[in-house]
Amino acid sequence: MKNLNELKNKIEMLNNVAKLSKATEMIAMTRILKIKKIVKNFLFYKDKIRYILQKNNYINCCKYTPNKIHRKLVYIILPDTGFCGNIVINMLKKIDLYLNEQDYVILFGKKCSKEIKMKYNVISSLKFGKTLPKYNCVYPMVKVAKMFFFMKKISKVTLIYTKFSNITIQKAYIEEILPIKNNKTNKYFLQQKETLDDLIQYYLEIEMYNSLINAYISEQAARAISMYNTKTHALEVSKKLYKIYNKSRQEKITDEILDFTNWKLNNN
Amino acid sequence: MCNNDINDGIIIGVHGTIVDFRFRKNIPELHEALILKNVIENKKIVFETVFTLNNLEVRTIAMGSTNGLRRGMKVTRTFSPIKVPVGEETLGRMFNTLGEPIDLLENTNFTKKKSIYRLAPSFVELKTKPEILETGIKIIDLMSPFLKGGKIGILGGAGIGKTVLVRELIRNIALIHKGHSVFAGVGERTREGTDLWMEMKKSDVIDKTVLVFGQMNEPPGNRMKVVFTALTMAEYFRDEKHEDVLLFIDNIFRFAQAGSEVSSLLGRMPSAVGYQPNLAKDIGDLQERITSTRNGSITSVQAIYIPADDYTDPVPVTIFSHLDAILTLDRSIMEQGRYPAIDPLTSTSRLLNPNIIGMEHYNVAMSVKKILQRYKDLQNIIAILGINELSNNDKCTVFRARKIQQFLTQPMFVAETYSGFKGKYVKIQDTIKGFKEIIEGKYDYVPEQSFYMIGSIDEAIKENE
Repeated sequence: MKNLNELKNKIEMLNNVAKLSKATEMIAMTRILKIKKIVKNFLFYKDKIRYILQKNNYINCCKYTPNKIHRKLVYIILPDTGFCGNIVINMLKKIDLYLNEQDYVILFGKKCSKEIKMKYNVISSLKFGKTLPKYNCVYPMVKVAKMFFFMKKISKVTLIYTKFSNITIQKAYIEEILPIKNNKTNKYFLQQKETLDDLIQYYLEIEMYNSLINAYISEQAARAISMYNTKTHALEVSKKLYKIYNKSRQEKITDEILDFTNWKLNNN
Repeated sequence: MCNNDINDGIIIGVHGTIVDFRFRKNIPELHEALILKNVIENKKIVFETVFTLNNLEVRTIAMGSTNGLRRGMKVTRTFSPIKVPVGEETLGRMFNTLGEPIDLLENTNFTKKKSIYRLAPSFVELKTKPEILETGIKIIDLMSPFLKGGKIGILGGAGIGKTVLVRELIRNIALIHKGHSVFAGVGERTREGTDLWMEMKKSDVIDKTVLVFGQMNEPPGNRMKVVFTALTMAEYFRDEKHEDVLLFIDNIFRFAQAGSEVSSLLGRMPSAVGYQPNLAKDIGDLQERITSTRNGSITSVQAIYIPADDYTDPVPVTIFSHLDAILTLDRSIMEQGRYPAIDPLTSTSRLLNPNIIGMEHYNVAMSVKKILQRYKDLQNIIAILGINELSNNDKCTVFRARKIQQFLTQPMFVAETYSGFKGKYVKIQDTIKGFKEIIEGKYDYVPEQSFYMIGSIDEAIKENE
């Protein structure tokens, strides 16, 4: 027979866990619902820009072509806080497969930042924050990317983030945003070369912001799912323990009563 | 035996409230009342035969204190079970288990008396068509409608408005349905009985009510049989006067508890958790008599104590199987000033079925439950992030849920002096209409304060105009 007080404390603790996880799950769900519309509109815009860039007449000029340096600039976007399932583990696996020690790394998010800093060449580390980052935060990111790429310090600019497919599926994703892969059939003919520079600026901003949005929404989805699982398991265990508690309580009383009765029968 | 009377017996053993008697020839029948006159204390003690020990000896339960009893004392047979007064004479009076008035009023001679034991009505006498008993209380009529002749369990601790609810039900049944009520106080605090008596006098419902008390200061025999006394009085109004009667039992758990106390002393082998082995029969015998017949109905409202909050305890389990509806009173609702403090999410009724109450009532009740449940879930987010973080649909749900919560409150006639609000009786049709229109968003423009402590929805509209 279990100690009744111990069981009661465990049940209370599990109920508190369930309550907390439910609240966290609902917060995550509300955040997802709020930014789902933004993501939908944004993705359409992003795809359009990329399409125009791939099919214009100036994209093959030397400025935007690949160079032979074996170094990359990699933006890694991780969450700041935990309770978001396997997102971090999946990201670390992808990072280990893709990164070389000499690559430049700009890191977003505090989760596992120590491990990445120890292993790779992290030139800058930033917090991701608990809310969706504002659009203007991509300007310095773009500036650094352009500077490194046009000064021929790197051959590629890459984003590593978690891509949101739906509420249950989020995958660690590697996206090379520079150099732009050219499609040979030109569809758009730009009159001035400078227009392309402006387009590239837009393109980089949107690609980078897209990665931030995806990382954010994936984090929230993963958190909602993991919190849902936590809540369900906590309630299940609590229910089982409550049954054991009730059974133990009743057994205890029955045993006592039977002891009295046996004593009485023996003495008669 | 030095007794000359053939029908008299003598005490041969006293085990607490259980007393054994020996008779010369004819032993008393089961449930027969025996009377012992205590000359020294100038008191009479009634015993009830429970079972026979042998051809000459019986075992009885004492319906009073056994202090001062000794072997050899003489007891007289009555040749009948305990009989209690019934009829109009009992209205406005307060009795103990034996049907003796305890209110110190003058009239103590009652002409009509009936045995507290009788069989439950046979199947042919029962009314088979379920019918709603309109209480005039919105939250009850909508979320947990009472079945005429049904049994309703009330869960909730002391001091959260149970008595006010009971008094309001008594008042509404008396004035609207022209019926009477019987209140049985079983094993609760004696103070509660006095409070109820005083408050009923104040709210002018005492003359529609019979009060019967076997409280916690009395021996288990009294606490166990007091329910049958009250039930007998209620049955008279149903069977002879063809009325719809309300029977209140506070607290039905104490009835089973008293039974278990007696059972051990009677020498029965205890069953699980120390209860009597015939627990289901004890409760069944009582509950089966509470029913609706072709002549009238007894609707029973029973307060239930859940020991250690254990719903798997044999007593609540046995009682729940007889219930048609459950009302849960919640302290947190009372603390917010929302009366009656009934929790609409945990209260339920067997009548919440579209085939019985109709599709419209069912749909409205379910929608109210759904909105309130969603609001309860959203409260966590509101507490952490604030209402602005919610989506527009959720915001709308929250505002409507708050209006529903306010509209579920209702001023009571019997509490007019405390609340300052004039009592309201709301018909079921008006209740359904009001909630339906709130759910549909017809009153989204009306501030939620306008719904607080009102009767029908028209009052909110008038106030807003």
